[in-house]
Amino acid sequence: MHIPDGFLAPQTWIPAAALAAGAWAWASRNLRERLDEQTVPRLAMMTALAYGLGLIMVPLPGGTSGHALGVALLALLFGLRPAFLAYSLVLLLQSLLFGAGGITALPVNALAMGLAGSATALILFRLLRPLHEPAAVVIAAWGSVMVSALLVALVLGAQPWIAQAADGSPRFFPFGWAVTLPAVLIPHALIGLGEGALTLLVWQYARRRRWMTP
Amino acid sequence: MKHLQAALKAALLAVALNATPTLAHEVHLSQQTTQAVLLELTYADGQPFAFEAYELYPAGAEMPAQVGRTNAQGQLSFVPGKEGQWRIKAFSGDGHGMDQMLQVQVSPSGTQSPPSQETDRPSRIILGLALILALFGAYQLWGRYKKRSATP
Repeated sequence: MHIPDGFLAPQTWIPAAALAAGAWAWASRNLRERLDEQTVPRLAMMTALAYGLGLIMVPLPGGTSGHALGVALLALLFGLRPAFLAYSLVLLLQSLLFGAGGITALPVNALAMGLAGSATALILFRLLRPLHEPAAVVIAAWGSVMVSALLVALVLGAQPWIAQAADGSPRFFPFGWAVTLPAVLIPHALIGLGEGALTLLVWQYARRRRWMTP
Repeated sequence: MKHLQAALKAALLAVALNATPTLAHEVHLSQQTTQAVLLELTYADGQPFAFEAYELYPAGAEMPAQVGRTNAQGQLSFVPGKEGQWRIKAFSGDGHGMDQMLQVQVSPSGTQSPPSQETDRPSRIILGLALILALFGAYQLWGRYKKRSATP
């Protein structure tokens, strides 16, 4: 789901960078009040876990590969702002060290996965928690993957329409929504199930140790 | 009868005169063995980036010199003609792919470069983990310092 460099037009990534800069500034405000001395090492550990999860590729039907995100467990354990910042760090390292996702695409990736993914996980969890807590965790994680995937597919599929050469051919990513929506969403519906199961395991472990801060 | 023969000759003459442009609609195939560059695209887990679209550009060019799809092994080949930089763009519909420059070398004996990032992947993983722990460690120490300096 990490968008590489060269796939997004400047008309996309420059406004996204401005939006992400504002979101990073907002998330960083009063961070020390949200992260006490006991929370920081836990957040470090979960950030490292999310970083590792993003590097374990799982073969999927259709000849492609996918990986878990880990953003839902960050959001459920530490809240929206720390999760967004921590996941942005994960994306930056994956981009710099592995080329998994581009530097110019980092704002879009961070907004789609780090911010929208975290927000979706928290909203779904709080809505469904009164009904059945473990199911709420799984659905929150699945929903966070699907909303992130939807945003990435929409941004990618808009590129042929946003930037074209003189002859009308796409200058950056060549496929429209008819291709990107099914190609991104269908594999991630499967990835989301794995993400849900993994998030539930970690969440139960953290709950037994009373790690939750939100 | 004479008119018919004249018409037939005129028709044959017309066919003969138009023979060259008519042949231009045919496609001819020739085969030669030459030096080509073979590129292999794989996902991080080694799965081939198979049957996906790619574009190849000579350095600085706006128009691609070659477009197509990778084969079942994620391979594509091209004949660069001379040494220099080329740009490869490869896309799958789900947003995987690359856009990067590559230095092409032409040598009679052939050369092979290792897959990018594959050889030192474990050290990159460890470096990333170390950076995460170092950043959070520094944040923790900074928080303690601020707390201590705020205490009268």
